[in-house]
This record gives sequence, structure tokens and C-alpha cells, in this order.
Amino acid sequence: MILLASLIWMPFVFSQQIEIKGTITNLVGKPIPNTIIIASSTQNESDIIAFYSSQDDGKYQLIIKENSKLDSLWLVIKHIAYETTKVKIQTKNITKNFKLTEKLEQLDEVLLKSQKKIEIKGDTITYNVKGIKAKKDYTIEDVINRIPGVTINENGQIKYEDKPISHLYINGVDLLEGRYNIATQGIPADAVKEIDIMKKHNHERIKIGRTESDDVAFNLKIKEGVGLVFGSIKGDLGVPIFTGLVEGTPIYLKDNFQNISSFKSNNTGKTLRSVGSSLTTGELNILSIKLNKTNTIRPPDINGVILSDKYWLDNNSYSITNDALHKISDSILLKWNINYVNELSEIEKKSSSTFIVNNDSSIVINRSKNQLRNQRLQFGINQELNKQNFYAKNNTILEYHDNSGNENSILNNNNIRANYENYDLRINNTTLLKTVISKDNILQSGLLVEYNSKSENLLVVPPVFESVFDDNIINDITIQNIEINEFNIGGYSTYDFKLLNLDWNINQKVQYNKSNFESDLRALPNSNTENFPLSSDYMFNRFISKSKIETKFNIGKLRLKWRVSADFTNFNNKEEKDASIKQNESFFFIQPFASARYKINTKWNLGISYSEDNRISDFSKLYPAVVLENYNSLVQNPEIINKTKSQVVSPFLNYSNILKSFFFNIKGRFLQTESEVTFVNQLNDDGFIFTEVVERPNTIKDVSFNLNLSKGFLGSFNSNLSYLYSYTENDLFFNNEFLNTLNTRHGINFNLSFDNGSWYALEYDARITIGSSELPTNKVDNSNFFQTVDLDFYTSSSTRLNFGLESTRTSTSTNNEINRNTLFNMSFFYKPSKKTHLKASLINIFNSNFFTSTNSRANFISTSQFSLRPRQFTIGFTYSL
Amino acid sequence: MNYAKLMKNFIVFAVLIVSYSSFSQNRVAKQSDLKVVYEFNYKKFVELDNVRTANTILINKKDEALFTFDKMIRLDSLQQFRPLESNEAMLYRSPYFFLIKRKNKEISHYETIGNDLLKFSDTVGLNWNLVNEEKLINTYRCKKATLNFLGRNWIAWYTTKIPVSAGPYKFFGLPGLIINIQDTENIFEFTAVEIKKGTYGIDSNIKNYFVSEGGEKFYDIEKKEFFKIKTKYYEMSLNERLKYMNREKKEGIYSFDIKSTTGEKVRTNRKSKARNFIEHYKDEK
Repeated sequence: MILLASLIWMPFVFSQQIEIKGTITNLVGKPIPNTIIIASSTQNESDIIAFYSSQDDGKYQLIIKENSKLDSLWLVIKHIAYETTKVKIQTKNITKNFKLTEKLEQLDEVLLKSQKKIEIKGDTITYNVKGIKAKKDYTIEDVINRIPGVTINENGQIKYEDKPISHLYINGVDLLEGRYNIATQGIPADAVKEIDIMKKHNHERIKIGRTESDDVAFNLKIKEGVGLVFGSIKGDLGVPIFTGLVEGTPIYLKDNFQNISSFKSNNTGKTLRSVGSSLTTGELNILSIKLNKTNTIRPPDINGVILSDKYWLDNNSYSITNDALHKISDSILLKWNINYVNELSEIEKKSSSTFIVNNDSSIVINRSKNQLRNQRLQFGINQELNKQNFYAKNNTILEYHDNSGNENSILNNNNIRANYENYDLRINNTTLLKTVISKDNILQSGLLVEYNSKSENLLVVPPVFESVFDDNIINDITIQNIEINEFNIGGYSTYDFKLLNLDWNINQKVQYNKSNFESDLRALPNSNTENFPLSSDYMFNRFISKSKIETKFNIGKLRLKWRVSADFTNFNNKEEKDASIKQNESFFFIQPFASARYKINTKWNLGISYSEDNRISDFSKLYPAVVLENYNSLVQNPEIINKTKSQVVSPFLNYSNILKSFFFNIKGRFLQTESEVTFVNQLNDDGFIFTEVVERPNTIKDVSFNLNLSKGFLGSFNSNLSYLYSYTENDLFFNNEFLNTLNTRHGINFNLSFDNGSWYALEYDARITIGSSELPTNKVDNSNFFQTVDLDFYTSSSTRLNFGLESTRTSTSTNNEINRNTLFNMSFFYKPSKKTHLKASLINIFNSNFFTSTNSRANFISTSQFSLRPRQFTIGFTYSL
Repeated sequence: MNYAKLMKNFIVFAVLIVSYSSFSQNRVAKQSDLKVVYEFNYKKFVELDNVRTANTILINKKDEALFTFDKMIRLDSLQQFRPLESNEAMLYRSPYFFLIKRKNKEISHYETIGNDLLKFSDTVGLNWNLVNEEKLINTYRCKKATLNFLGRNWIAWYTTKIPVSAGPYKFFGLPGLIINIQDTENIFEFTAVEIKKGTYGIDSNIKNYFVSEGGEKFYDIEKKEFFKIKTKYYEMSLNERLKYMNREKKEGIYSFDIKSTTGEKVRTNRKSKARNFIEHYKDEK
């Protein structure tokens, strides 16, 4: 009996599992999921023995696993929207259901609100500088580095969460644009009160289709009343020739006014031609209406090829710029800028050009010493009105260029000297407007007005092309004068909207251009004015209207885009000195474009596009005068307005496998261009060329194929290989012979880099080009092999040693010579502090004098050799104020 | 006549009261959504000690929960109405771009690696170890619980005063809301700084929370493959990453060469610094 009893009793004593289950419902019997059921020894749940969260059907199940000595326990039933229930039960298997009462409370109850480390006011995160500044931070760059998410590179580039910022605003305005490292390395930390990271910031406050800026903006708020002057100074000094570089950039800021000046001067091979801040919008629609800057007479050639400027640019340059900004109110901004650049460059060149005509070839050898001085004075003023639903910007720019130079050549044993002059005055005014039409649709419009006046002169001694002049006098000089006056007015409107679930864009452009071309070509001392075509007075009137519609949409994995443009052009031109030349014609074209892209999966991706482009001659291809373009080149445009039609088909295929670090990309291009004219060239034994254009249809076929491969291996190595093949077929007339030329080109580009983060890094780059021109009875080949090697040693955290070399090997099949050149350089960099930077460099270590390269096109091959700067040792420093 | 009018008014009045109370009952019933702002403190790189901060949001509803970064929630409120501008994509950059959606024990993990939108599904069962310790955090009395999950050891503090079995990231299943959770190596920490009750929406179009080029969609892959790609991506150098992100552009493969005017060189081919990830994924062979 006792045994039986104990048998029955034992499960209760040694049982380790008690199950409590049930259903939780509301007062009307609807199950309540996500209810917390807690089993505790005390009423206030100080120890939790078991817990459960009710399921969708309201059911719960508690397993009390412990060998609990408790006879009873508390069940606490909790739910965020219902009143808590507490019940004491016996510790045994039971089923207990609960009916919960809803809580009655207010909407949006706040259960916790504590101090957040990052204060977000509206859409700006603000950091108080005092709070994040450390004692040793003397420039604001160091303080910015403490903000979470921010890293700063050695060159001062600020990155916010791995993406570089490009807008650093000071007191809410962006004067410095991309040059902000001048400010961060110069502004002392004490002058800044707060740093904002602008979130919902859009430089143009209303929403627009696409903006140029795509980076995070920082805003430094300078303490009120603090006037700051800071900036940087840079200098280099070199031997053996006295070479130097000086650059200074002082910046002045106070409240709503900011000013940045810079002065630069050097003769170390650093070009300053592009210096000068541009206040133009850079807006694509305006750029397409603007007139192109073209030269009728070619300026003296002072350019080397392939190599970096520092090896060959023989210059004397200086520039002064000043940019100022006034913040008139929260929404009105005024900027003005003035800059002046003066650069004198010289080069010594030797070129040997071979022209092939069926069974014969002509060689032209030219040794020249060229010089060109570029001078530019520019003034610009810019006003911006920036409101919630409306944005307007107006720019006015005044530019004056004064370029002069000369070429001293020995052309096939003839000594020739040519003097060049070019004066150019340009004024333009652009207005941009953006307004919101309906909820999210924005209308953008622009207006451009411009006026240009240019004067070009070329003086050649001894006289050239004498056969065109109708006299028997012995001449001294050939002189070409050109004067061009242009007036242009244009406008556009573009509208983005959504219709039938597709994205649409419509764009309308209108432009009217009136130009006058006056030219005079004569030989002196004959003072009689020549007749047409040596003298010309050409009036040009053109009206253009372009209407475009574009849409893009997706069908599953396929992305499609198409576009159609209807272009209308009307000309009303005439030559005052020859009544028979009148061009009054209109042209209308439909230009289609379509593309499709299909993403098969994360690895494969392919697509194809087709476009048709119809063009008509521009002003520079229409003036009918005979022009001396260069001392050895005489050109005449056709009397007709030429139409060219191009059709392009481009397919592509991509594969990428990230796990294997392997990517490849293949693309092809099939281009066919039909033109109504053909170029006719006449070359004589002295190396003089006369080019005219005849009305004869001409088709150019171009097939190219490009393959790119990239593979990483052994962890730190990375390699890239690309191969380009192109084939072009076209016709030309040369020395009264018709030539059908086939040009093939193979290009291989190989790049290898190694960097495992340690004290050295290597980069190697090789470029091979093999070209071949096939003519009816000849074939000419040429090859170019260019290599660069860059080796870096990071000898300590503040020093770096660099070795580099650039090498070429060129050859052509018409010449037995193989030209080889190698240039070596080395540099040492030392950065003792944040504000100072020192550099020592030795360029062209083995003092090479010349550099050779080759080029071939259609029926001619040219090999050029140009002079290099001699070996140079330079010491430089950069210091931030 | 007076009585009839009075009766009519009374009926109208009664109807109004009844409808109002039933209406207000409906209003009360809807307010059980919870929105918690968790301050997320983390050490991004293995070898650097500086701690970064970001705000993350947990939205807990009756049927599902969503956890992601505050900036991504803002991206969603923008993209629900209009497409993103290219500069806004940079302004709303989050330290990481991931989003966790949970329905009971089913977790959907959405994340961008480079420009790709990837997603994987997982079922988690968390074995919490309740510890009899209490601490006051941000005015709430919290109890302790420990867990080994995602390759790390975690210490969580939860409060039963808010009886919601939820928490940040993929943490859930305690008898109360997790107020603070930290891993034992002090690399990651979530702390609730704001808790609100109300009605909150979860956008069913998850793409709106992310920055993506139009037409892209989330690719569903295996969890194992996801972590392989993620590990590989974050090991790549700047140049490699640029190539990878632009691999589909028909222009081909890009590379970076950055040198400043002072001669400083940015090492674009160097392998990236090792990073810390919440999920310490080990390849189970």
C-alpha cells in the first residue's frame, strides 16, 4: 500500500515540469495576441520564474521548469493596451483563461523622453563646438574630425560616413565652393561657435529634377563680430635654372561678408590657364544654347603630348583672383569675382609627317620654336534669390582675352616666321528660373543673351601661297585679318512630370544668332584690297527651335528609355562681296534615341541603345572665304550647307562576381556617318596644304569593340586589363587622287597595383597602341608603348618617399628608327604638423632633352619630338595661416 | 407635442452619445503601436576606439515590427511622395543601410551592399537567461537578461512596465521592452531615449526606406551568401569598391587616382580597415 502510494506520489514530488496554460481574450471574447504572462513568486514580479507572450489565437503556455518549493505563485498578465491583471494560483497544472479590460488613455502617450546626444532641430544636426573641442585643436578641421561619422584625409578632404563632402558653408553661404580645405585648415577652432550638418538642405530650396551637387553639406557658424583672416602660403624654389612658385590665398570673413583672394606665380611647369572661379551655372540646357568658342586661325602650338606638364611646359605664369560674397538677407545672395591670368609658354618641336598617296609618299619635316602668351581678364557678378517655391539666379560675365605669339619654323628647309594675334571680348548674361507648378512638378526655364567681338591676325614672312594672289609683284609678307561679331539670344523651358505611371520630360529650346564675318587675305606691299574669296563680308542669321520629349519606365527587370527630338533650323546668310552666294534654307530633323537595359541577376547585366543624330554645318564651316588658317595651311569652306547624319548602335554586357573579385565588361559600337561633302587636300613639295570641300557624298563607317577585365588576387594585388579595337573606313581626296582608307587600331591598357597597407605601395600602368592604315596600294603601321611606374615608401607616419618613371617606345613602318625615351623622377614629402607641409623633388633625373611620340590617321603618319625641361631640383613648402 | 419633441431630441442625443463612445473605444484600441528611439553607439573599426552615434527607430505593431535607422525612416517619408533628388541621397546617408522586419519569429533582413539591394530571411529563437538583478535606466526599473546570439554575448536590461516583447535589431522575446542592450566587448550598444505610443505606419514598399536607382528591386539570397558578400565587400579597397558599385554602368570600370596639390596621396588601393559588425558571422561548414 505504501509502495503504491509512493508510486503515485513520486511524480508529484520529483516532477520538474508544471504547465499553466490558457487563453487571453478581451471582454467580448476576441483573442489578444502579444500579451505578456509572467509567473513570479511575488506580486511585484521581483523574480521571474517563467514568462510567455500569447500567440495570435490568444493562447499561452507557461512551463515551470524549476523544482519549485512554492505552493503558489503569482501570474501577472500585461499588455500595452489593456489593464494589468494579477492573480495568485497554486503551483500545479492548470488551465487559466483571462479576460482583459481595455485601457482608456490619451492618444500618443509619451512614455520616455530623455536627452539625446545628437540634437536634431527640424532637419539639421547641430554640434556645439565647445562641447567637442579638445585643448590641442587649433584648426576647425581637428574639431570636425571629432564629430561622429566624420573622417578627414591627409589632404583636408572631409568625408561624412565615407562619402566626401564638397560643400562647406560658412555662415550659411558657400563662397569657397570646392576649395573648402583652405578654410578647414585655416580657420581657428576658437572662431567657430557651432557646426551644422545640413540634412534637408538643397542648395536651391525648391525641389528640382536633378541637381549637380550630391554631397553632404557642413555649415560653420562663426561667432558674431569675429573678423577672421586666414589662408595659406605656398612656395617652391628650384635649381639649376632659377625656378620658383609662389601661391597665397588669404581669406577674410566677417558676419555676412566673405572674401577670398589668391595670387599665383610660377615657372615650374604648372599651368594657370584654368585659374579663375566660374560663376556660370554650368547648366546643360544653357550650355547647349551658348555659342562655342572657336578660333579661325590656329594659335601657335605649345603643347606636348602624353607626358605630364611638369616635364615639358616651359612657362612664365601669374594670376590674381578675388571672389567676394554678400549675404543680403536669408534668401538673397550677391557674388562677384574678378580674375586676371597671364601665361607665356614656349616649346621646341620637330615633326616628321608622311603623306601617302597610292604609289607615292610626301614627307614634310618641320622644326619649330613656338611661343604663345595668353592673357585673360574676367569680371563676373551673380545674384541669387532662393525661396521655398521659387528660385532665380542671374549671372553676368565680362571676359577679355589678348593672346599673341609666334612660330619660327623650318619647313622642308624653308625658314618661315609667323606672328599671331587674337583679341576677344565676350559679354554674356544668363538667367535661370525655377517654379513649382503643381504638387511635385517643377518648371525650369532659362534665358541667355550674349555678344562677342573678336579680331584675329596672322602675319607670315616670307609670303606664302603666293599663287592665289593675282599680281606679279614681289611680295614681302602674307597677312590674314579676321573680324567676327556675334550676337546670340536663346531660351529654354523644361518640365518633368509623371503620367500613366511613367516619368516624362518635355523640353523646348529656341535660339536666334546673328553673326558677321569679315576677312582680308593679302600680300604686302600690294595695298589693293582683294576681291572675294580673299576678302569677304559674310552675314549670318540663324534661327533654331528644338522640341524634345523623353520618357523612361520599367517592365520587370527591363529598363527602357526613349527620346525624340524635333529640330528646326533656318538660315538666312549672304556674302556681301559676291551676290551669288546666298543661303536661305530651312531644315527639319527628327532625332530618335532608344535604350534598353536588362538585369538578369546580381551578376549579369546587358543592354543596347540606338540613336540617330542629324547635324548641319555650324558658322565655322559656313563662311565662304579663303582663310589662311596656319602659315602652311589654306582652307576654304564649301558654299553649301552640309548635312551629316550619324547612326549609332551600342550593345554592352557586364559580368561581376564580387566573391571572386572578378569583373568584366564588353561593349561595342557601330557608327555610320553620312556627309554630303568630302575634303579635298592638295599638298605641295614645300609642305604647304590647301584644303577645300567639294559636294560629294561621303560615308564613314566606324566599328569599335571594348573589353575590360578586372581581377583582384592574393589579397593586395589588383589588376585591370582593357582592350580596344576600332576600325574606320572613309574616303578622301588627296593630291587629285581618290583614296579609300581603312584604319585599324588596337589598344591594350594594363594596370597593376599593390598596396597591403604597410610601408610601401606600387602602381604600374602600360598602354600599347598599334595602328594600321590601309590604302589602295599601301599599308602603314605604327606603334606606341607607354609605361609609368610609381613606387611609394611610407617611411613614417609623416613622411613619404616616391619614385616614378615614364617611358615611351615609338616606331612606324615608314621609318627604321625606333624612338625610346625614359624619364625618372623622385620626391620626398614631409608633414611635420597640420599647418606645414614640405616637399623636395628631383625631376628628369637623367636630363633627357626630347620626347618622341607618333600618331597616324587616314593617309598620314606623324612623328613628333618636343623639348623637355632640363633636370630640376625643387624644394617646396605649404603653410596655413 | 412638447413630449414628442423632447423624446426625439433625447433619442438623437442618445444615439450621438452611443456612437461617440463606441467611436472613441475604437480610437483607444488603435493606440497600441509603440515607437522607440534607440541611441545606437558603436565602434565602427576594430582597431579604433572612437565611438560613433546614430539614432535608430523601432516601430512595434500588433502584427509586425520594424527596426531601422532614423534617417531611413525620413527617406521613406520622402520617397512615398516623390522620387529622391541626387543630393538628398547623400544627405540622408545612414552609417549602415539595413532594415529588419519581424513577424513573430520570422525575420526579414534588408540591406544594401554597395548599390545592390539584398534580402534574406531567418527564423530566430532566442534563449534568454534571466538574471535576478535590477537597475534604474532613464527612469525605468529594469531587469537583466543575458544571451548569446549572432556570435556575441549580450547583456540586456528590460522593463516589464512596458509589456511589449520587443527590442532593437533582432532582439525580442523578453517579458518587457528592452531599454538597453550591449555586447560584452562594448562594441555595440542600444539605449532607448524616447518611447511613444500612438499609431505608426510601416510602408509595405520597403524600397522607400533605401536609396536606390529606379527600377531596382530586392534580391532574395541565402543568408550564407549574404554574409560572404558582405564580408568581401567591406574588405575591398576604395578602388575595388568603386569598380564594384559601378560595374553595371555601360561605360565600364572606373578607378580612382587622388592626389592633392600638396602632393599628398590618398591610398585608394589599400585594403580597408577591419570593421565591426553586429552579426559576427562564422561560416558554418
